[in-house]
Amino acid sequence: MPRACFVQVAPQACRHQERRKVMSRALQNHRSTPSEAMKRIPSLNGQELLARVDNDVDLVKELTAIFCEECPRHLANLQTALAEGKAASLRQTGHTLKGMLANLAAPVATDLAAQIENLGKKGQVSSARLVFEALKAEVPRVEKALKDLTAGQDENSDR
Amino acid sequence: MKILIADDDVVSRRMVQQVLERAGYEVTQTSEGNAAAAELCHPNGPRMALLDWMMPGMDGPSVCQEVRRRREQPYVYLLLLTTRDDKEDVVAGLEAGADDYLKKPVHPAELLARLRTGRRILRLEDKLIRARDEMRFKATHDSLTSLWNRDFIFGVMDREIARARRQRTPVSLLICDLDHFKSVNDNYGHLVGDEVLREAARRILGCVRAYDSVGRYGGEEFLLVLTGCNAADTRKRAEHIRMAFGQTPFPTEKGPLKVTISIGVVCTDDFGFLGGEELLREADAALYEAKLSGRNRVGVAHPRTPPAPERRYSALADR
Repeated sequence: MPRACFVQVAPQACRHQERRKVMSRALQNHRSTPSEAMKRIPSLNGQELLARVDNDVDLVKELTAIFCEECPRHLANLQTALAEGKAASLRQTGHTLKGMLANLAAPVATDLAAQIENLGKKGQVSSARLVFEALKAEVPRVEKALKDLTAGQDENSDR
Repeated sequence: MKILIADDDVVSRRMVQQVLERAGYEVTQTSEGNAAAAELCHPNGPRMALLDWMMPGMDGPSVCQEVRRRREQPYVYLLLLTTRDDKEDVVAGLEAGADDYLKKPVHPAELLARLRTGRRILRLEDKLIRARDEMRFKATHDSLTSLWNRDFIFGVMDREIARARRQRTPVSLLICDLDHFKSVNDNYGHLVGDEVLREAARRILGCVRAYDSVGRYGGEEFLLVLTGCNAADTRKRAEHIRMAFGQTPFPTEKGPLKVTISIGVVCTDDFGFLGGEELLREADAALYEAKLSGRNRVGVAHPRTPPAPERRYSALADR
């Protein structure tokens, strides 16, 4: 049996609405951190990613390796931008991460990166701290989901 | 087809690269806007590009503007590929010179379909440029010899004389006329006559420098414009041409033919600030003298009254 994985999710529109609702609730209510709230939402849409790369599992592995190498650098840039109050840097790095995560079909992390970009655009650096924490917590889940996805595919192909 | 991916996100670049290479594109990549603009403005640069909006150095729309500003042709098809999707962004991207706009993450099939549209446009553009170049060639060249035609070589002559006057350097005109060409046509037919004219053009071109100009002046007459060539060198050059004709027979379908040439030479060194028509008249008179003197020779135009020292280019150049 293929490994049960949390990349199988509801139709896109419902997912999107639910994600927005949960994140918005989480970010307004400091008693519950966004990272906790978003644990309920899948970190990766594996089917979408595989379709995007024509089911090339090796390419997904390569992309995963690139992501694992690149992402810490971008997170460090975000942390520096927050510490130094640099809105432009926040916007630029948020934008780059948003693109990267969108390509990898990581919806929650994509939304968080988009929020950081927007807050950077508006110059609201301090408001971005909470979102950054949520993103930092979400990234390991994306990494794990990516690795699980390719491991699952390898198991399938072995049979 | 070569295509450039300019994106600071390495994941995006790798994904798009895979899609494009599988579709047969030759992919080059950069993460930086300035490098993208430089590559696209290079004469042998890619004809297609996928540009991210936000990049270090120069953003995507600025790359589009730079390419449209600096490169007239061949046309480069530019597609902005970005996560920005506001209507204002779309308009700004297209206004900056992009041909198309796709939102990330892009579906591979859609990306390839859009690029196929781009390739159709490029093919059409190439066809139009080829047609225009052919028309331009026909408008400026002699159809038999592929030398400059009469109108064009006259234009060259006027420009070079004006330039020589401005820069105070010499310029020389040579009128070359094949000897007894009518008898070639009469005895061997016009097709052999055409062969002789083509070979004559080849031999003249073989005797001049790359930056000299050679045109077909009339039926069997050729006009040469030699820039920066003083009187003594012009005479040597003319003699060189004459020898190139007389020494080796012309190969034709009717067998080898001995063809000689007479040349009339004029140099601004000897005549000072004369106009093109006047210099041409002097070269023509020198050619006439060469023909009268027995043909297969070089006639040099000499001023009846030598120009005053201050009216000579070499004298001016010495100052």
